[in-house]
Amino acid sequence: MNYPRVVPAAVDAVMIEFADEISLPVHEQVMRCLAWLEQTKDTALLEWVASYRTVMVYFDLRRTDAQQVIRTIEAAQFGQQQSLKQTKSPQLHQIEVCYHPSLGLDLVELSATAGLSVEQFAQRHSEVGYRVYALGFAPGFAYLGDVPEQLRFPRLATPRKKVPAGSVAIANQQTAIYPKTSPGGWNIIGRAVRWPEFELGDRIQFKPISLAQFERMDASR
Amino acid sequence: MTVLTILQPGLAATLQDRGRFGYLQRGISLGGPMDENAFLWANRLLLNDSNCAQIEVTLGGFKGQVEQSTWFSLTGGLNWFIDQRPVKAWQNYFIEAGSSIEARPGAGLRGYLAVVGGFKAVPVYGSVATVSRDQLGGLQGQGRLLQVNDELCAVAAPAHASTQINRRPQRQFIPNYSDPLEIPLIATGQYEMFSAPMRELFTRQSYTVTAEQDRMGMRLEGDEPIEVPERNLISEPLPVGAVQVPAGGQPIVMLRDRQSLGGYHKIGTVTWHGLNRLSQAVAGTKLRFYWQSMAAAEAEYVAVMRFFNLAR
Repeated sequence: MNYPRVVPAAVDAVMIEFADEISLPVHEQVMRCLAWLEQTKDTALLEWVASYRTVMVYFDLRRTDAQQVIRTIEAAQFGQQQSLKQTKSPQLHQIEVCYHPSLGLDLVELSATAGLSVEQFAQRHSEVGYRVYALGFAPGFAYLGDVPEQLRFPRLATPRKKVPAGSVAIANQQTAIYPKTSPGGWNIIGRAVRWPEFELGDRIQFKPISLAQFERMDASR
Repeated sequence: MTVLTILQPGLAATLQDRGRFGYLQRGISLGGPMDENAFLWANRLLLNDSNCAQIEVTLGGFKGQVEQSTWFSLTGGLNWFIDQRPVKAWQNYFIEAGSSIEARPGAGLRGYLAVVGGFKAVPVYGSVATVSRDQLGGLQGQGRLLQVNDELCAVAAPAHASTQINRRPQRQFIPNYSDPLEIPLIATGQYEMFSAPMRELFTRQSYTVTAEQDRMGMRLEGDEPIEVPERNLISEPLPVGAVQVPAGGQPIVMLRDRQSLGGYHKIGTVTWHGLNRLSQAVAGTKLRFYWQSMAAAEAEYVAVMRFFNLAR
């Protein structure tokens, strides 16, 4: 397959595909594409939404059509351009997380499977930096990557009916914070008290805190 | 001033305008009318702007009391009653204060009740469309369904009887929701990754609408499951109308309140006309899909946009 590839997604939308993997270089291609979309003078391009390796673009069907949009995007070659400036520079957020088994419901089991202590597990999860690769599932839900190899576990076979807001969770190479109490199928490993409104491309650093610190922060919220 | 009080909301009555455009990147769903054709006609019959907010009634069991005499319109697939007398749907009516408006089960699943000028609510992210899973829109802005005793105001002042005439669409524009369901879709997403026999099976066999459906999506059931491409898909943006096929091989059609990303393979995308028809299908309804060319689907949707003067 030749990438990037642009294909129809709906009568008024196309999908731009970059490679077939989740990785930082692919994410950076997506970000360049978004920068191009934000700067283009083509007002027939209305709205876009990105994920790990794809960007879907809605367009005004009264002024253009899929064929024309595909040609425009293919000609843009943002994949090769290094110079496109992002209009918003990504933020670095430090987020405090309490990795305690009373809050991280799957922490004990996952640590054991990984051959780590709970503390080691928490350290591995928090010592690497993450990027916001995608936003979606629900408002405020950010998909962060990449989780270290040793901490990669599939989703739960049966999703929980209720995951508390602030739960820090992992699924395969992704990690996330549940922004609202909701059903969820990811492994819960901790809880955050505060977190920002994420933007695509933001950098995240988790910082472990004790249960006592968590309770103090939670009470003063 | 209140123009309508909810006496009974029925299964689910929601305030809807055309939806929340421009916030998909934040994971905020479109929302809006499930049967947009019936919705747009309800506004058109009152000479309203196409985006004026209406009440979408689900299944029936809805009753409201008119508090100020003004013009309303009633469309969609439910049976409508004014003061307990059946009235024709797909028409605007001048209704006196003190009268009741009721929707009872009909040939379809959803009905639309519009008022001249549209119902009033404070927009959240540019729209009053109720999306309960996003907790956005509706009367209070938090995605709540309409409840008993909710009082709805209109954006415009009440319109005197003399300001409008009774209008109905020409007959060919009124859908017959009892017609056999033939649902058009275009080839999108991972269409090419499904094997030729599976693409053929998808349109050859008939599907049954299941009870597992809401404003977010609709599960269908066919005798033979569709074999899904082996290679896993990395979660990607999900257009409204996308037909996802999970591992079990039974398709799910994504509707107005769908989440912004999805990880199942998509065999195609149902067109605007197809979505309107699907949204009126009760559990147990049989349907068949057919492939429509991109060019034909584009031409049809452009015609719709021009006819209803839609911005997008």
